[in-house]
Amino acid sequence: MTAEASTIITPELQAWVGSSVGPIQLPESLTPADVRRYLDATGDTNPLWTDESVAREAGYAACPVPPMLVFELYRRAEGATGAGDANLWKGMPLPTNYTDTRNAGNKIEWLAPASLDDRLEVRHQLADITARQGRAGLGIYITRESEFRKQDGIVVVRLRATTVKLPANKSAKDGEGRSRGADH
Amino acid sequence: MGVISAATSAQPWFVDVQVGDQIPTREFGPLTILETVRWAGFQENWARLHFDRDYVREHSGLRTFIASGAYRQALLLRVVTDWIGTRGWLRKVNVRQTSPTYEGDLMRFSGRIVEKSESPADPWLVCELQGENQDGQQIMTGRCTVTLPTRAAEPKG
Repeated sequence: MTAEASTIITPELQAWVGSSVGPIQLPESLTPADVRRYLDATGDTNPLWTDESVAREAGYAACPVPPMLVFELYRRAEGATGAGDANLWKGMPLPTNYTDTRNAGNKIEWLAPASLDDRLEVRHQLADITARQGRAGLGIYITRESEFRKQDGIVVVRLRATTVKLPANKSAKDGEGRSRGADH
Repeated sequence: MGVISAATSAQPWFVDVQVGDQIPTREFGPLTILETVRWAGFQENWARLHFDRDYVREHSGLRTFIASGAYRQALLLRVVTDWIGTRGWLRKVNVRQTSPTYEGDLMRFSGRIVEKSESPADPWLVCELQGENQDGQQIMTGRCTVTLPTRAAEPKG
């Protein structure tokens, strides 16, 4: 880490590595409306998600939900409809101008299917905080590990996701992150 | 939503695919505020980066809003799950978001098989994944592991 990076990753911020929240149960079970909105948003017409006979023929007991849907509902455990203390990032001592957030990438493993009426719970843990210089300035890369389980305790997804925090109005340059894997 | 390519393909079988085979390329877009807001509504993600042009110009210095990385990943994985068919299983994916998709941009996703299990008892494949825009500029890279059915597929539970 460069001297500048060492400065921005303060001991107070570094101390957040290892902190965790959960397990937090999502406020609702998976519903047909969740699937419908996901399919509307992605244009996905795969009958596996909606046709029980296709799902049974493929060896499932019920229609699985699309892989990305399983964990993209995690915000529901953080907001007004969920438990506020499920927000792992709340209170993190980032520099005050580091308010621009981008998705840098992730690693995901699906271990079992999830279906309608499954009630998921999630646990997040902060795995790493580091700083790297990019064209948009010095980015703070925050990596979390998340695990989603069904009501019967079966783990359906493990996820390691990295978010980059950038100083406001410094992530402006088109192509920022192209060589660093740091965008949106 | 500007999907050019066809819907779900025929079921591929493990025995029939080889290293070097291509995943059918799919193109999405051009990106409009309808797509980004639909996704934000599904995800309950109210980040203004994905729909508020004035905000992103002022706050992020971008020329207009950009697609959510998760949205692009959902489209990429749709390409994979359509290809592996109803009997395939997406085990793992590793994705790097490398450049933004702006309002008006296309997203073109492709992939190819780079490794294949030698054992039909564990019929996995590793595929490299690629995303680019209308100018051929890379927007995402990735790698996934999938399983394809053998002729006597087992129930998944």
